[in-house]
Amino acid sequence: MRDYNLTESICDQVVVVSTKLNGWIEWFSNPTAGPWKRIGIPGVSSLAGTGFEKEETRPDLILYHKSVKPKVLIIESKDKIDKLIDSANQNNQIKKTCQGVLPNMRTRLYELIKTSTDKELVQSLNSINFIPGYVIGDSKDIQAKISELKKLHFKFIDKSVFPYFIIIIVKKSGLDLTLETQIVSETQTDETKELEEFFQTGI
Amino acid sequence: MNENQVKELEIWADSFKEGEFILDRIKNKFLGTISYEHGFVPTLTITINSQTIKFFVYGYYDAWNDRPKKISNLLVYGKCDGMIYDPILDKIIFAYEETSAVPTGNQSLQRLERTWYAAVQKIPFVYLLGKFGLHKDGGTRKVSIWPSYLALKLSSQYKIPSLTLLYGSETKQEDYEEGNAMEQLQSLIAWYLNDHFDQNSGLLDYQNLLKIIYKDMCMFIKNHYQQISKNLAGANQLSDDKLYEYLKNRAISKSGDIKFTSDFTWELSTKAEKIEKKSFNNFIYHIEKLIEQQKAWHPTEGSTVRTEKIEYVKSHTELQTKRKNKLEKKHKLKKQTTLDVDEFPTHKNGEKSIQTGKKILVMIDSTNDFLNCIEQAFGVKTRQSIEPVLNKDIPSVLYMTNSLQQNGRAFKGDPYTGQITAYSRIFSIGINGEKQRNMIAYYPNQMYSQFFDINLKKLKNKGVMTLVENTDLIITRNGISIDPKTWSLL
Repeated sequence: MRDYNLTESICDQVVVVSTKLNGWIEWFSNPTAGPWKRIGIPGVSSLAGTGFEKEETRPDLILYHKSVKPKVLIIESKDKIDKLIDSANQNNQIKKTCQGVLPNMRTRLYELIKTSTDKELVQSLNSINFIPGYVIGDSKDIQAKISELKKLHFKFIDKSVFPYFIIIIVKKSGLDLTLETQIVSETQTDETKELEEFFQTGI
Repeated sequence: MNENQVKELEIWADSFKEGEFILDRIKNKFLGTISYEHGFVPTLTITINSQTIKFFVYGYYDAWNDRPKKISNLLVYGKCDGMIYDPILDKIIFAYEETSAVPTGNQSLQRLERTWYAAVQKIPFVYLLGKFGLHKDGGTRKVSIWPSYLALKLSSQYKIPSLTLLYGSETKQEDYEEGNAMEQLQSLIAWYLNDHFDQNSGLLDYQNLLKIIYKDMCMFIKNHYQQISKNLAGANQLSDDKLYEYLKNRAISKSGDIKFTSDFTWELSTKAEKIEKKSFNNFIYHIEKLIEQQKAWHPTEGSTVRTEKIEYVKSHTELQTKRKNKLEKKHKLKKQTTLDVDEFPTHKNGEKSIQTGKKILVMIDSTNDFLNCIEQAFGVKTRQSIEPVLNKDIPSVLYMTNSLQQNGRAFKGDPYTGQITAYSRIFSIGINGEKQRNMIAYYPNQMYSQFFDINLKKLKNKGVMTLVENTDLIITRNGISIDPKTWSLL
């Protein structure tokens, strides 16, 4: 097989493949075109779930896991974490994500789920845990950079709505890709511990 | 070929989703299981007459280090959604484009430069699109006839299958499985794969399938052309079985007599049309007079009004002027051309009207009449400079785009590059590749300097390349003209 660069799109692809194998359902991903550009929530009409306007900011992935405590991951992806924490970019990218994309998407998903004909999904609505996340390609000094990202994220995010977030690091070895997940919070709680255990078995 | 050896084929695609879409089509015909290698690469292994074939999806063209030149070459005119490629033979077996957005109006021609270039490269090509689209307002839209009409002309012009397959119905607009399109797509892919491995016993089936698809395309055009182009060339032949047979034979390069040329030739003007509101653009004003004198006509129905906010017009006129001044200073050049916000009339909505003509296409019966309009609007010197690049023995077709944007999509993006390419192949080239009209592109709101880089050289993008290949003359603001073949000012 041919070699490749660890682009944002390839990072997303490995997350999509891996999460599907672990029981997650892809509600949205952000390729250039096609019917998959819509937000695909079970029981929600395609008209209501129409994707995004051309210039509208959007997440890169939305993933759903139906478990005792259902989870929705709203993900921003970058091939390099530097693109998130770079001083020239940070006030734009992270601020836009934390104050725009994440809360807006949470509200929009909440409203869309309410319209679903999938009764089980609607009934679980108030127990759904909406978790923001970042998919990033591995790089040198990644842990130090994650600390930087943590500072910035919590500077801009409404912590009462999103008290923690998930980092999914995509690691390349030869042609193989693997994932490493971390739950990042300012203070560890039973909830974050529980999530750490949940994601320990893979995503 | 060693039968025990696994033969590897590659699916190159605009995204992994597009690639898997093709894998699914293959799986439906040959069975097999999709799995993921290296944690992310979709693969499918199938067997064709004891030969094991493994497909790898290379999603996102730009992510891969050693992308084959043949693939890169096709992408120059836009990233088509997917293609099946044999790396050993360095051959693109099949290419496709699909859209879930139903293109209507002028948007319907977006991406058609890809359709055209696949035909140029002799690659069998399918454009899969919905027959009806669900609009955000809740209403339905019917797809334009132009993608299908272009495809049937390209099939005959270049002697290679170029097909449009329409899925869905009025009530199930987005259902890919509704109608025959998906089954036909799968059958086509299966045939090309079988043929590639010399395992084809179904040549007749393939020919029958092609004929059915051409019939479907023709019947779709026949049923809808009145709303889009009332005097469509070839409309009377669209239900003729001989035409489907002919298109099929041309597509498989079967030799035979040239037919249908005159049937698919666009007619000269048959009636005068009163233009209620004359253009503020002097050149178009004279062209409109030809329409009123039954010397020119609009081949398409419908029209639009394009206005822009004053700030937008001001910004882009200034940016264009700045660029022109910079270019002229560097090259000690001085062309008589201006672009100012005050040159655009104010529309009743308070914005500036930037639309110069009622429609973007005009068929002109006599190229001499066209040159007279040039002379009346821009002077005799402009006429004399333009005359040598046009064939005065054939009529002309004038395409105009009112785009005002500095460094905008007029040259490099949707829908303009697709429009100029498709309209050129549809209106200026006959069904068997005969040159029938001069193809003239007019950019009333673009200064000539927009067409050159700072060194006065040709810009390098797909829009410019399509203009080189598909037009005979480019007219920019104030009549300053460019010979597309040499990319030099006339």
